[in-house]
Amino acid sequence: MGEIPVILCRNLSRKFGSKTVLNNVSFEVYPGIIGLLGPNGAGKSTLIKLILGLDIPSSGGITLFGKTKVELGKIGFMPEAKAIIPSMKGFEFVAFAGELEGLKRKDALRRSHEILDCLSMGEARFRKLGEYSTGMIQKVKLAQALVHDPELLILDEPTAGLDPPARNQMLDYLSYFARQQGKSIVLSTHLLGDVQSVCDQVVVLNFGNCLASCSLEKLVGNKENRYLIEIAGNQIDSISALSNLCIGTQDMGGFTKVFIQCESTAEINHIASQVLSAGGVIRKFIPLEGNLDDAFFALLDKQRMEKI
Amino acid sequence: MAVTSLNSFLEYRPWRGLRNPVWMGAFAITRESLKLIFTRKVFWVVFSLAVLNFLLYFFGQYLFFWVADQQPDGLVRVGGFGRANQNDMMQFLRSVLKMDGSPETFRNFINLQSRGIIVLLVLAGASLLGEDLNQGSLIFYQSKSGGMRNYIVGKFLAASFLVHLFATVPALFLFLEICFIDTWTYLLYHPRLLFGIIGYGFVINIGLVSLLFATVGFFRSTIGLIMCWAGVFFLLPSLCAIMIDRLRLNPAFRVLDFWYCVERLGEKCLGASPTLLPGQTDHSLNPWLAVASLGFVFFISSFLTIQIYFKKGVES
Repeated sequence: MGEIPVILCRNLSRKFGSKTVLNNVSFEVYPGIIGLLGPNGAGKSTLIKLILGLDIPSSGGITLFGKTKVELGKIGFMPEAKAIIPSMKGFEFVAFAGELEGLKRKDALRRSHEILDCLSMGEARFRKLGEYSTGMIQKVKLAQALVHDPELLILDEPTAGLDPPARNQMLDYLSYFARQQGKSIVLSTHLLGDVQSVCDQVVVLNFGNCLASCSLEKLVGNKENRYLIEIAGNQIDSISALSNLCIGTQDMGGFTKVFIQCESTAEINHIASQVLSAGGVIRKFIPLEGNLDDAFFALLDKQRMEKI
Repeated sequence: MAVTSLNSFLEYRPWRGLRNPVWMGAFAITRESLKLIFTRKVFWVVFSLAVLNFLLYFFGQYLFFWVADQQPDGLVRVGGFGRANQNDMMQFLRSVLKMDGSPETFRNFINLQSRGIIVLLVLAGASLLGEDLNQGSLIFYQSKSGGMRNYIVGKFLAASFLVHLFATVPALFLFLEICFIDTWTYLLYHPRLLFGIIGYGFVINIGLVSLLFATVGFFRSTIGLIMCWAGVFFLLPSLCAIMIDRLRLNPAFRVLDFWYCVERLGEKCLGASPTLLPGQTDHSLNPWLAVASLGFVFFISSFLTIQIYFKKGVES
């Protein structure tokens, strides 16, 4: 990747008294959707505050778009907390956020309506925020982060408290803004499914340490061309036929499980024909996909083992 | 990933317009804060009382100057209220009501108006500042380009606007009224009064608003604020009165009475003579001690404001 990293952290540490919340964290992430993962207390929120310049690191440094000075005007932040003004109407709140970012009142109002249209807010924008549902509040919070057209969006738990359709819609919005509008998005969440759905890169934190910082594909593992086959019927002959092809098997009682890696369709056909000619019955043939849950927990386990 | 709703998007348009300087965001905060206060019934109740008080002084002064223009020692007819001796009437307006355009007129007027400001800030202060703390909205302000600096300035301006709307501006109107009904030489002969009104307004402004910031930061709710301000504006004066008037302790102990110090400074600004309250034996407090008291409150409040608001924003 020859481009400038969106966020570059070098040996970043943050201590509160004797408690180390971030410990020598180093990573770099590039334009796209970046998942910031970690269990509670991992240091995600502290990292976000350091990126936003709301807190000062004990040591180390951060550069955003290659600059050490944080330009908040280039960042849109959607906090996890409710952070609304209940007596304000939806469009007023978004326009107000625009004004705080330097937009003129008239422009801020126009822009507010544009963004809320874009997020399908309809007539609800004219209601007071105190009357909004969680889904609407999340949308308004996203709108206020977008109103000044930032290059980087930092979203803290944007799908928290949303029902599945609203969650899918929120993820669609994120994909749209990243893929079609070229915005970089940092998505801090506990929900691994959300990260797997939309993210290109991931940063995994635990106990203040950075466990991984890479593309999602790399973290999950390249499982392309890997398949799971379950064989029933004449298992003994099938196993011996597969062992002739140097393929290991697992006896599962009523059936046999086989993991294979094939580069071509011809290879798959050859294996299948060997099994069938040995009297085996292929009852399942599933292409294997990488799983973020497995990779994430493997990282946590690895860290735990290293500590022990 | 489900992308069903993507078709319903209206196209996002990047923003290419001109921007205001970041510090102007403080005015947006002021405007929205005032809108919030104006929606509260308590504001309109207190505002109505303040307007009534203003009208009382306005017409009281008018009456004084009108009576002064009548034939000396004659009987004057005041509307449908019958006739009264001109001297008696002037004496009543000057000595009892003190509505004669003297420094005491403005001191009494501003003191009365500031009671209204105190009530308003106590009852509406929690919605001006406390809501942001309770809703976790500080992080919203903090993450914007102007950050907490704009927030503090914006809220300070909003509270200051209320103080001046109730005290300084109507007092200046009363001053102008005298210039109009008497002569403009009044302005030339009483420049101190003009600056005194503005000065007293700023003393109240700094004292009350800084106290508001610090106490709302701690108590957040209206009930907590009422308890705290009742202590400052009722308990402390009573305590000082007992210490000085009953126990005959050093009058310098009045420095503990924050509101007394503010009023004393106001008197100094206007050049008004101090008045003794019933039962009060000693009224002398070195003005520098009053300045020190106000300065102490301002310093402590500012320190707490920075500690509470900046820290809470980061913590939320």
